[in-house]
Amino acid sequence: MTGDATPDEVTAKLAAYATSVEASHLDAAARHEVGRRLIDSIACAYGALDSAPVAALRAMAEERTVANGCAVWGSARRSTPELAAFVNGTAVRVMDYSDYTSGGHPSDNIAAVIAACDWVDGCVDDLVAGVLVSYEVWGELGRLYLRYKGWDQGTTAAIAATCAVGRVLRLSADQIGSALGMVVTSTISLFKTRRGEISEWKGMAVPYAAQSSVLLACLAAKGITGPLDGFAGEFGFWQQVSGEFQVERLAPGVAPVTIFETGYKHWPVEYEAQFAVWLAQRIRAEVAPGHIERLMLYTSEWTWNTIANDPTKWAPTTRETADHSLPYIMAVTLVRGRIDYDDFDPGVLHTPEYVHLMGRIAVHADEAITAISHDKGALRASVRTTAGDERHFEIAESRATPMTDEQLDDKWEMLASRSRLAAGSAGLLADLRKLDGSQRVRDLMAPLIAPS
Amino acid sequence: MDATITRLAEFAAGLSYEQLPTEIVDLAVARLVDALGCAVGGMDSDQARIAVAVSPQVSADPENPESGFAGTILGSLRRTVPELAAFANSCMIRNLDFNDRYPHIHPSDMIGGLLAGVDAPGVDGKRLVSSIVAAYEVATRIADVVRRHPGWDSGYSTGMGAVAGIAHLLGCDTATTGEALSLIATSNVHLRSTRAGGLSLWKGAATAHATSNAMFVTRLAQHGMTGPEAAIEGRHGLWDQITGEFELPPLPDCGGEYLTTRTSLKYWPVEYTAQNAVWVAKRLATTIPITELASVRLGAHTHGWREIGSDPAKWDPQSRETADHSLPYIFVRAMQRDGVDTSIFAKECYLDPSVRPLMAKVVVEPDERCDAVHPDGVMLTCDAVAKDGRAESFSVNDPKGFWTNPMTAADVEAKFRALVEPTYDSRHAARLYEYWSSVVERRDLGAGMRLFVPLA
Repeated sequence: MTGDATPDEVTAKLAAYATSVEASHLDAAARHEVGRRLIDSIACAYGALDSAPVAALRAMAEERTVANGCAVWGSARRSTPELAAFVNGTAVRVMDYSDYTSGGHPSDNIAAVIAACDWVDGCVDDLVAGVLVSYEVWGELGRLYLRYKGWDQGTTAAIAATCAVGRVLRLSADQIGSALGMVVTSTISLFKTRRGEISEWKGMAVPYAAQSSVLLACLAAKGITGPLDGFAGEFGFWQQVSGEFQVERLAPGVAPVTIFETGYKHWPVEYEAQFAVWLAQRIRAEVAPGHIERLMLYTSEWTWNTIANDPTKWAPTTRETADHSLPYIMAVTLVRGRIDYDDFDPGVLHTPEYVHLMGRIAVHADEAITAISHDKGALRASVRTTAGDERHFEIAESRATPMTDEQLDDKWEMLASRSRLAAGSAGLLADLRKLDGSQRVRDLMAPLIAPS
Repeated sequence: MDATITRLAEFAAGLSYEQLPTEIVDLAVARLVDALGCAVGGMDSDQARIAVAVSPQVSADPENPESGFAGTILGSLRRTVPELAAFANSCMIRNLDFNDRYPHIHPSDMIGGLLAGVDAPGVDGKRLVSSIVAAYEVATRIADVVRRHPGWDSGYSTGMGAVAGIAHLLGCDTATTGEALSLIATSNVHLRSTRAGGLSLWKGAATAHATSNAMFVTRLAQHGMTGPEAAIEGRHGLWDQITGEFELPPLPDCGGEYLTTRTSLKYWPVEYTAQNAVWVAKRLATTIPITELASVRLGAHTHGWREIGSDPAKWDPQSRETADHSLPYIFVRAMQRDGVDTSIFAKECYLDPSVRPLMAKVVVEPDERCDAVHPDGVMLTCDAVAKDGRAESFSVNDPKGFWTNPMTAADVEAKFRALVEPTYDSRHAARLYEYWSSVVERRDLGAGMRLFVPLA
């Protein structure tokens, strides 16, 4: 049964789009790009497979096994689709090395799409369609910039995940509408997660929202109805959270955009901080870290607000604060010439050389940089050397931070080779490059199952 | 953790059965029995059926059989992950909309989450009772804050309370409870849209989802997950986004009142404001039978009017969810039948065309006199005119079951038996009542859960 309501326009358009996407309609470039997103995301999962948070969540999932359930990466046991989506999604995300666009990391939803495929024993074409839907809906909603209103990216991520999982489960437009109604009325999260001293939850809040979407889509598949006017209705999403908006771009047959425009991460740091790593490399080429007397950094308002706005950024005590700390990331790169996942281990955060350098770094938000920051990743630095010189550096690069196929393969190799499941990773990479539409997703992902 | 989270966590972790006054134990047990009766009545609902369908059977880790626990589902031998069991149980408790009430929430929605955890190590009847009190004391205090801000739904307070109760049930310390509260405080915001306009099945499942989330994040915290610091008071936390700054009234461990005493039971299986409508209808029918009624104006408090008497959809219910939140529909059926039971929410009953002309005689308006007593009291005013011109004006206050006019133990038992006897025979119903009304003496609650599995 359905309620008395008719779908609002946003619900109707998202559902119409999600139900229309077929892998067979995609051109080769879009399909190839979906494959690249999978490669990048799963590479990140390999890298974080035995990180503390992923191991803890996996242990929770392993307490109980679901026969014929969904694969939990790194485990020999299967679980519910929700727990698989959550544990695996956290593995993709927790290094903060996964791809990025407005509104967060679209790859946060990839594990949920894979879990849904796993649950219904779907094929690679379902996976391709689901991933594409997730990215494109994400792109449509990313421009709402809900973070400026204090709402977390999990809020819009869950909407994208619901459309994607709904597509994988082959829900009708009405069922997707119901699932969207449930998700927009009950899966809203606060931006608090990314403020102040940041906890591990930062890397899990969106996978958590995505796993919730999996459950809600499964409920809709079985007949639970949700409010079909969850966006526009009284006390709905518009009124309480986002303000009024419309779905402008998405419609059946529309060419994909977000899947191409999403940036890849070259460094395992907060997205904007990648440009800081490159800037620090330029500085280091001319000024040795021991010769820096004072380093004034100028950033966009947003970057300052996110990774340099409070004193905890100058004295990080957790991995999550450190990889969202502009002074820490600058200091490490100035010393080492690069920055890696291990540079955020709590044991190295108090390295005297880093602490000393951080004390010499000041960060300011700059209007001119803010003005171009929607298009460019830009920073400026003024360095006063111990010899008394003033040196100026700047960077202003495309925000898309593209990666070539070769760079992606290198990232895969670096992350997968250190995993205990490295043995099957070459075969998985080959399958992901090929993306045979009829391959079962369970077979595709088998290399991430641990031997029992 | 900020001061608010710390205070709630200290209370939940520090509570023990032994501290509870007898009166509070009795109230908690009555709410448990009431919830179980409602759950049996709601077991066949679409929400409960589907919730069980999406809950896969699980088996223990053969290498580590003692780790964790499986979730227990009312009326089923299936063991599933705890969060899905919490969802299923709470869907059952909530479905009839017959369970208990506090302004903004149905507190016993949380009990479904507690029942899912009875197989966890260390849980017995006394622990279950103190976990109910932990849940109720937290949820009521958060609800008192959130309900002042229109558009935000009860799932938020339900989730916070459920975490306090589940963490207490599982024996979590203050730190773990605080992390779980921080997680739920930032990730479980619910919109009122679920309850506005035409209603969907989700209305009966949204708070069950919040309870499920509470189980999930509490287990996460047990596995070492840390939540955002200052989830309520910090930047972009609850204060910033929804409520503004508030100070919690003292909890019972600091001399505060047990707000569990202010939770109400429902005597009739209808929305709370509509309880009075049934009493008004019964009284009016003694002087003006519905066949002689020309028109009637019912005056409700503004919130109740908005919930169940303001939307035109309430005069033409097309779903069970709209019907059981329709003041004119419930009023007309109560006049016809001298009271109501759940049969009025059968599809053929609410779609019945003959009831529409009678509903058209009913006007519902907000009434300042009712607002003046709400929410410490509940009042409904009635101004009726008969076809022969006779007029009747009266009001009723605080229906039976309201916390100031409590149901007796016999009322609670009668309600329980009426709800469970269609499913089990009366002997088994008596056994169920006997087991659960003496829950504080029970050690193995799994046995009590199995009593709900229908005998083949």
